[in-house]
Amino acid sequence: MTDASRATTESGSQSSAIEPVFTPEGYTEETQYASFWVGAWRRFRRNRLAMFGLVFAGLVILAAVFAPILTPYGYEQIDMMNALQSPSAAHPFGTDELGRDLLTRIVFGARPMLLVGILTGVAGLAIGVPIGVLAGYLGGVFDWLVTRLIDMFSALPWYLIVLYLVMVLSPSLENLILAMIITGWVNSCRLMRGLTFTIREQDYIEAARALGIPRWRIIVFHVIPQAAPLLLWGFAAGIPVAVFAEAGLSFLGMGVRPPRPSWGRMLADSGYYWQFWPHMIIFPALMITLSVLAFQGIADGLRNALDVSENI
Amino acid sequence: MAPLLQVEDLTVRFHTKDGVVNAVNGISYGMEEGDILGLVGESGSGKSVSSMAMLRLIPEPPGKIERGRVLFNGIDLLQLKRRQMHTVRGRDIGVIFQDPMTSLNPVMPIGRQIAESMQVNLGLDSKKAGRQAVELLSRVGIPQADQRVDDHPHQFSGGMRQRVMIAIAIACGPKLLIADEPTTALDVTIQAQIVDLVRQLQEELGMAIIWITHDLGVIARLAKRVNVMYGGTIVEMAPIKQLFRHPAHPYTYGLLRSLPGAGGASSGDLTYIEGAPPDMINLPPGCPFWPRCSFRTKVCVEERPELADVNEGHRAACWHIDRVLQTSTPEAGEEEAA
Amino acid sequence: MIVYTLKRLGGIAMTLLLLSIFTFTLSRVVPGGPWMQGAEIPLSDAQVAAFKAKYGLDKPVWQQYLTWLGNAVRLDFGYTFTEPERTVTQLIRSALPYSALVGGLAATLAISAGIALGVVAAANQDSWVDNIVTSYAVFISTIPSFVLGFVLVYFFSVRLSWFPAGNWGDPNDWRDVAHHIALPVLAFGIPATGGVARWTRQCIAEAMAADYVRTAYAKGLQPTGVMVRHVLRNALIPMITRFLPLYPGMMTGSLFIEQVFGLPGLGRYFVVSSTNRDYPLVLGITIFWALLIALTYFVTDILYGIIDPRVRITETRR
Repeated sequence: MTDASRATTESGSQSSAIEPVFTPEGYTEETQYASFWVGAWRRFRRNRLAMFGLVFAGLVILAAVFAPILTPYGYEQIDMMNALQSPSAAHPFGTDELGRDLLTRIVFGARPMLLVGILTGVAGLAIGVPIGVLAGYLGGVFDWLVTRLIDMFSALPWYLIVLYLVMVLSPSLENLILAMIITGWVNSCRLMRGLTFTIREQDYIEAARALGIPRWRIIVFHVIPQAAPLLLWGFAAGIPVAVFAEAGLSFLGMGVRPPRPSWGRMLADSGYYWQFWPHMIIFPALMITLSVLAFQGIADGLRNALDVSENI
Repeated sequence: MAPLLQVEDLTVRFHTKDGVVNAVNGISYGMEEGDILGLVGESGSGKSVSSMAMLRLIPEPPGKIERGRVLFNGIDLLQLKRRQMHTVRGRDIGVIFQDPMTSLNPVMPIGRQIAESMQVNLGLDSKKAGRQAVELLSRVGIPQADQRVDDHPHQFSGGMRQRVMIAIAIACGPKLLIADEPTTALDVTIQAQIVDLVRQLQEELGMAIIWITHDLGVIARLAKRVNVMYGGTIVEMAPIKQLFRHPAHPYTYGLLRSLPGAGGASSGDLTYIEGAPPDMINLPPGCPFWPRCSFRTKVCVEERPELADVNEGHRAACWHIDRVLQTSTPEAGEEEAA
Repeated sequence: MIVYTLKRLGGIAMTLLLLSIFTFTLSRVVPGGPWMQGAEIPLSDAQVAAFKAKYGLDKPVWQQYLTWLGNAVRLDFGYTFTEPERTVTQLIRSALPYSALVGGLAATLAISAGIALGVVAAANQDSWVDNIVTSYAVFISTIPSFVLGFVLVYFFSVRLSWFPAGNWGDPNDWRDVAHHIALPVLAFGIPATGGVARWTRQCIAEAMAADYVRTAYAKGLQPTGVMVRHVLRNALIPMITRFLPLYPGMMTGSLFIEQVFGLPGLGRYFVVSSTNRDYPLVLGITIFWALLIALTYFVTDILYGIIDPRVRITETRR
């Protein structure tokens, strides 16, 4: 604030000590940095597609959960008198060939899709991550075995394996989910294994070992947390795949058993009718496309926000 | 003799989504033919940006050269059309970049990369350019040049790759060579070799050199004059001996003191400059160095100092040059501070 | 080089072996058999037993597998249940061209259109052109091919009658065939253009941002020269490795399209044979596809080694 008097000594010794250093009011040295997750959320928020995806996905999830409350009709409610109606006030999405309200069936159709997507993702993580980490960390025979398994499941496109499994096990939603899990864990496993290799080489892991920290602790408290962004993205990226799978397999008749509704199934069932009653195909097709778009948008947004790359 | 290079009030800004980065804020300096100028500063000080801006190698969005003139042989480079810049680059001005691994095309044989420069700038046909390339390779000290000319960058070590870059840069005999931290990524022993190579080439070819670095030790071996940059401005310019013996700016002084072994090391602790590099988006008014300066007073916070004469060929941008000089050269005292 | 090839082939063989064991065991272990699916007249036990004996299904599983394996190595996959006159190999050979043609054309469409779009986007980065292309790419890649198939049929077949809605047409008249497969190829290929375009844009953009491009400009090269001599060559490498596998991928993945358009391809047979528990056929098709895909990856890797000097499989020096 105030200059002290200038005292220039003749001998010219440490004169910097004489003038008190001036600091203006309110000046701070600190810069605030946001945490990683806060920063990631901000980046995510800026991505319009990702935000659309989030909102849309949220609505779909809500609709699926509260389906019975939201829909005036039952999804099996047959009403032959009103079959094949175009959208109207009573039936905003129209009716199908059995007179069932399409809107209701669409809303309920979200359930198998979400079940497949979320269960596959969760189970895939639950199985794939531990195996991947162990393979990456322990190496040796175990790793060799795991690699062979990964290769085997990667030899064919996943939908072929899922298709085959579902058929062999007899088509149903449960078996579809099972089949998806069987093929899905491979992805998380592969990601995790690769990441473990990278992390394992890092200096702070070596430091932890030098401190005598047991391996399991290193894995749980050091390797896995660093893998969290990648795993989150992997989980999110698996959902649009699962949505597509459920739609596709139900389309082929390999998914939910009728009369339970599924968008893919509705698409296939509309085969005879949609040329004259396009509403029967428009709504399921639209929902499938938008859902895949939404979840894909979320996954892409996460990838940008978390700054993860597949090539570890 | 008219100066080879005259930079006047060069200002470069980057318009990013986080704000406007004031990378270079009105710098001015000149160079003669055959001059060897060291450009010293930390990351973000604007040393690389200012040199790249001269060649218009700054990505135009988001970067923008807001104002200034860069007179090379009397012609303002900033006013030239894009097409005309291509004749200046490579032929009159050569560049060596920092990381030779990424700065060389990984899928093209190095001989072709060297020859390319001559083909484009001097109109040589590929055969002639190829032969010249071999000569250049051996000139920069690559053994078995005729065999190695078809190799790819990954087949060379870091030091060798940098020699290749040097070969590319001098291929057309430029008047000015800009070396942007060429030794930063190399081992210390290799650094010395490269510096010696460049010095030798400079003596043979007589080109002017701008050597950008944050390493004062390298400067000491090579440069005749030094510009010290901080926060996008030149804070001190001096002949090299003057700079080392009588630094007139607190930043320079702090830099010199922080070198291990530089006087007062008997205490065993390293000295350092307090604080952190400035935020180039929100530069405080006044002198860019004041938050870290132990000489600061009220005027430093409010008004930015211009470069003022300290001595013959020695200028510094500080309100307290005399105090700094007193501290940095206690024996000399008032005589130097005149 | 030889060693590398042998190692790779060995790995492929091992994977195929495991895959065949997995598929085989699964099909035998799960209850049910070809005689049960959609049976209107249930077979008597004696008939079932006779059926089993004829096809060796009464023997223990591992023995069945070894028998199968012994034949498979000689490319004899046995007879199919669905069409007892024909061997699996014959069936695959007859159905393959349909899948290959549709898949191959779709892949070609996806790659050529996708690359074109990607180049345009990369050349105009961050401009409105780039935004449109990227938005298109993101959107189009989320449309499942069978959905798009329906949409195309609705507009171009039902409404406009430009194209037929299904079937293959007369195999002897290529124009008729083309007329028939136009929509399937479009439905299958268009969604894939999205992924191709995005990856192309990314590869080119990355190459354009590389340091060696800066060096090229510093040497005095013009933008065209930089693009052709430096950017494209480097961008091509990751692009090829991603795009080549599209061919086997789409040739084997055409089953949804075949379903929508009623095309007699391998995918269709795969679905049918899985439903009918036609074990020999399923195994045959599975192994065939896996082999095709594995070989393509192998070829891709070799190609990669040729193009990218950093990854030379044969070391000429040092």
